[in-house]
Amino acid sequence: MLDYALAILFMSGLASLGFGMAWLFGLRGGRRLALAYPLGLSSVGLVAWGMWLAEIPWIYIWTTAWLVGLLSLSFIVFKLTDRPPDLAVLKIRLPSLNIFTSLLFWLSLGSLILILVWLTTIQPIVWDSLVLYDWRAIKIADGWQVSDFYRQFVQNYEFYTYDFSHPFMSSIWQAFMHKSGIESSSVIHSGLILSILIYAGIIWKSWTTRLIFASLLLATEPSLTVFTQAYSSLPYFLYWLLIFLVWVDSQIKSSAQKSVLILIFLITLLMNRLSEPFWILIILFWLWEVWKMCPNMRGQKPKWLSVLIRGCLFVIPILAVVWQWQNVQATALSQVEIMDSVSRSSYSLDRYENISVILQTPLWWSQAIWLILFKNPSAPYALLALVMFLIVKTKSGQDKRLFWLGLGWLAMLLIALIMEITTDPENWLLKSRLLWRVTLPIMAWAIVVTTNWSEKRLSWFDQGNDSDE
Amino acid sequence: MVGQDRDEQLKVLHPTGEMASLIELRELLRTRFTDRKIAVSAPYRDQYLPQSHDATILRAVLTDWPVLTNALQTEEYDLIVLIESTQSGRLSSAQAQAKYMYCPAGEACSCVEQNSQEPKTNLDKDILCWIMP
Repeated sequence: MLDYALAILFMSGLASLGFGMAWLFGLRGGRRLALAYPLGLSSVGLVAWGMWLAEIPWIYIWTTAWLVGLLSLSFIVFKLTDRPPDLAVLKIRLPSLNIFTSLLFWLSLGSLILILVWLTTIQPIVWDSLVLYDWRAIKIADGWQVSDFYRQFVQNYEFYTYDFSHPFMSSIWQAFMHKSGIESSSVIHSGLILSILIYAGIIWKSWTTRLIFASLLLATEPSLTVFTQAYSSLPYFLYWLLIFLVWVDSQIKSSAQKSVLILIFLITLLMNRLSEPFWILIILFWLWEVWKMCPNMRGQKPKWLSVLIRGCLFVIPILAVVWQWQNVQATALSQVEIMDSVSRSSYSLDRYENISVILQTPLWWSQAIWLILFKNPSAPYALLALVMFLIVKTKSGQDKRLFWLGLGWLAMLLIALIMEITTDPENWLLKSRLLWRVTLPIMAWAIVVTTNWSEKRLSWFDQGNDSDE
Repeated sequence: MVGQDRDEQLKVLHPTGEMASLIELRELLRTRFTDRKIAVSAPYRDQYLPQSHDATILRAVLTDWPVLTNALQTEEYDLIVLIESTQSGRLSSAQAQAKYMYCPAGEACSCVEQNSQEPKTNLDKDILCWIMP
């Protein structure tokens, strides 16, 4: 029990820090509360990751994080004691229903709460979760630096690729838990799940929509499988979910949205494997934002200094992240001392020399389409999103953009498969099980757009309730 | 699943009893060899052994010590742990009955001699050869 108490204290510190950041970003009311934990977790994770790469001993990083967290928490508690919040604002209005729908509503809500409790306390029993992500976290907590990770597999390229081709971000978060003596380190993600549910409850006012969102998130087979991959896939999936929630949240606009998205995008980027092409979307988003900031291209008077500063604000962090990650890989490669491995790195074009295999094998296309449309675990979600798009006649430009985004992602999945077959033409069908992780952003996208579109048409539990917040 | 500790999770990953054996090895190293500089030697993948013998799973259980592919050649360690399996066919029936073999430095160690992944002799290091059921 002491484990969980410590974990809750640490997470409260992160949330307090994030609450202050949300205030600085200009978020208001419930949104400040809902996004506090993701912002705190992101900023501490990002700084800790950078410090760890700079070879600063973990004990200092861990102590600093605890100190910052406790100071933030003390400040929030002091402010609350000084000026207690009006709890009446938080009062939730439940729907007034007939007996049948009332029973259905409470059964659904109760089941979802039970599933949530089960999910947030479940232990990961997936191979990579324990043997890779959790193990790396234990060693980081023990004081291992990047150099220690490559030292163990001198003259062993396969070992190197296993440890370094998987992003370190989740292990960094878990290392905070392990260093604090908390063995079930996946508990750090439970705050993220709770934040997302609160945020969804704020975005969508209808109880029907809220239950649909929670059901898609917590009570479907593909989602539940993701939850058991608590270290490897869950945080990645949750961060993509956050991106889309911020995107559809029409109340968050301009600078607040961009500030939140910068942090979330950076963390999501650090949880992407380079071999999975979704990080390209984040780069494209960044370029789009910079484009939009250029006033002269929108027929306005140019303010070049402003363009320069804001452009740097967006471009430098992403370049820094990409450069740092490449630097880690390059350092590790140089230490492995196998010259051959250089030609097998992610950055060599030689690995794509087998691209002609695709053209020579007509069967490949039918296999690829079968994989994308049927074996792909996000397929039912994508189909649901498509059906909702066809049912809900929307004139919203944002909805259409989201729809085309989904189709673009399926195309990206095809790119992923092409990459897979060109790098490993003999085993690509076997490796297609990796679609699990690759398709997580599509799953997150489909959950959010389906819920968003359903709000316009479905209202089983909302007769006579205009607002529940 | 609440409260299930890490060892239990590892046993779920490999319910054949191999995990229990490795956990027993960990306890032995923690209690009997506290003053030694220990490294575990393991190939990344040994085609003759089940997957649970390879370095990734060994390091997940034996978190206190480095699991290295070149432990015997590394100077800073004075006790090297090797994993040998009864299923490999490399052990005699008498050796297969033992829980482990301890080979002091300079003495011949059949475990090392027969392990194709390692040098044939241990000149300056003690070897603990753990027999996996």
